[in-house]
Amino acid sequence: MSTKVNIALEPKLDKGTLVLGGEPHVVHCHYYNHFLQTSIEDAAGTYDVEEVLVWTAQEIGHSLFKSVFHERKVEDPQERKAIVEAVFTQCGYGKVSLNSLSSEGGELSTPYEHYAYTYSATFPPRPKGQRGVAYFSQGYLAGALEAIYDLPLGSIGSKQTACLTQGDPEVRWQFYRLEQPLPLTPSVGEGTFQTGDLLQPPNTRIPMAQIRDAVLGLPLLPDPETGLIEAFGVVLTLIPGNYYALISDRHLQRMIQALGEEIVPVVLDMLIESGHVCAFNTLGGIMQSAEWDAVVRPYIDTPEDWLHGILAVLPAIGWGIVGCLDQPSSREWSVCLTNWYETTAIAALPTSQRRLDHSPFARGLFAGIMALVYEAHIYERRLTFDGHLYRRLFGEGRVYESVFTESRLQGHLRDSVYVSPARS
Amino acid sequence: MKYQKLQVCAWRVKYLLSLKEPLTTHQWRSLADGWDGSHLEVFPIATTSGALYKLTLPDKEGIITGSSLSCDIYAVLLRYRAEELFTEVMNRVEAVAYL
Repeated sequence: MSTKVNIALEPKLDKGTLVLGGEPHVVHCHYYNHFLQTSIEDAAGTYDVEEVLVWTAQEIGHSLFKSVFHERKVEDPQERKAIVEAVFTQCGYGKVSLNSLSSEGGELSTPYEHYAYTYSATFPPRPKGQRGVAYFSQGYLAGALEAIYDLPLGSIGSKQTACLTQGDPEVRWQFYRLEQPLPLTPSVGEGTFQTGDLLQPPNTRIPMAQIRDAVLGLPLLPDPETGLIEAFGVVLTLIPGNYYALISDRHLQRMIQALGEEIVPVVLDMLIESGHVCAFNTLGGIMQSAEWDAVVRPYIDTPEDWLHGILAVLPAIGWGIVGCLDQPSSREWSVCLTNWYETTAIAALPTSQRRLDHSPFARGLFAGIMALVYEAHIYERRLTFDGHLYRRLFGEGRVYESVFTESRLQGHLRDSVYVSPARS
Repeated sequence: MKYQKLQVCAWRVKYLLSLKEPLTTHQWRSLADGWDGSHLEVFPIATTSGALYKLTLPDKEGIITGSSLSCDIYAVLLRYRAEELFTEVMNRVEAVAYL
C-alpha cells in the first residue's frame, strides 16, 4: 500500500467546493452515510439496489481517475494503482492494496473500509447470505480499475464476497471483465455549477470568510493505519457529492417505476429525514467540538450566530455557499443556496433522466439546524447525542419544516429554502 | 471539574470536561509527557490567534482535543473501555490543570 503519493483536494472558494479529478467532494459522517444507504437498501426486494449504489460509484470512480491520470500524465498501471490507493485513504474510505488486480480483474480484501467498519461497530451482525455493506467502495474501485487499464466504463463487473458486518475478518470483493458492458454513463463532474461569494451578514460578529478559511486549514486526516477519519466525535468521509445526489434521484426513479407515483412522498420524506439526521449528528458534532470552540465560538453573541457560524463552515466541507436572505429568528429562516452540491449535480442531467425537483436533503438539513438551535437550545447547554435526545425531540415529528421557495431544478435562477415551525 | 457525556457513536464515546481555565501549551505538553505512548499535535488557528490541541492516546484508545481559547476539553474514547479510560483522563487532566 502506498502512502507516498501526494493527494490534495482543491478548495474552490467561489463555488464552495473541494475538487479532485473534476469531482466535487463533500464531507459527511458515518451516521448520514448509513442512514441514506440503509434506507435505499431497504428497497432491495423492490428493485436491484446494487444498480443504484454500486453502478453510480463506478461511474464516478471511472470519471474521477481518468481525469486524475490525465491531469498528472500518469500512464503506468503501477503508478496509477498507487494514486488510487492514496486517494482511497486520503478520503477516509479505508485502506486497500490493488497489487492483486490486473486488467482482467481479481480479488481484493481489506480489514478497513468505512461503511463496513463503522456498521460492524454500531449494529448487530448481518445474517450470512445477506450481502455486505461496502457498495460504494465496490463500485468506486471497479471504476478505478477500468481507468487504470484504460478500459471502457462498464466493462468491469464486481461483487462483494465477505464483510465485517457478517463476522468476517475482512471486506472482500471480486472484480471481473464483462462480455456485455453495464449501461453506465460518465459522471457529471462539476455539474451545472454556480459561483458566488460568501456574504458577510449584518448584525453579527461572525467573520464568515475567516471561519471558512480556518476550517479549510483544519487537519481532517485519516489514521495512517486504518485510513479512517475520526473528527468531531464521528467518522468522516470525503465522497464525491454527485454520488449522494445521483443515488437519491435514481432511488426515487426506481421506486416510482416499481410502485407508482404514490411512493413519491414516502421516498421524499426518507431523504428529508436523512438531512435532518445529518444536521444533528455531523453538524451537531461540529458545534460541540474543540474546533468549533477555537474557530467560531469566540465570535458568538446570540443564538442566531450559531446559524451564521455553521453556514460559514459549509463551503469548507464542500457543500456550496449558503447565505441568509434575512435576519433569522426562531420563527423563520430564509437561506439562498449557491452551488448546492445536490442541485448542481442533478441540474446537469437531461430533464428526462431526473425526477427530483429540489434537494430534499437540504430541506431536512436546514430544518434540523433550526431545531438544534431553537428546540434543543445548543446555544445554552451541551447536548448528549445518544439517540434519546432525538427521539424525545422528534418522536412525534420534526419541529421545523422547510420548503424550496425557488429551485434551479424547477427553472428558477437559484435555490432558496424557507424554514418555519412545523404545523401540527 | 464538570463533565458530561456528549455522544455515543460507532465505537467511541465523546465526553466533555469543563475546566476553570483553558490548559496552556505547557500543560498540554505535561499531559502528553506523563502519558507513555501518547502523541500531541498542536495546530495554530490564524483567525483567532489560538491553538488547537490534539492528544492521541496510546494504542489509539482515544483522542483528547481542546483549544487555548476554551475551558472545555473533549475526550473521544474507545466505547467498550470508555468509563475506565474517562476516569484516567479526568485524573490526568486534573493533575496538570492545577500544576
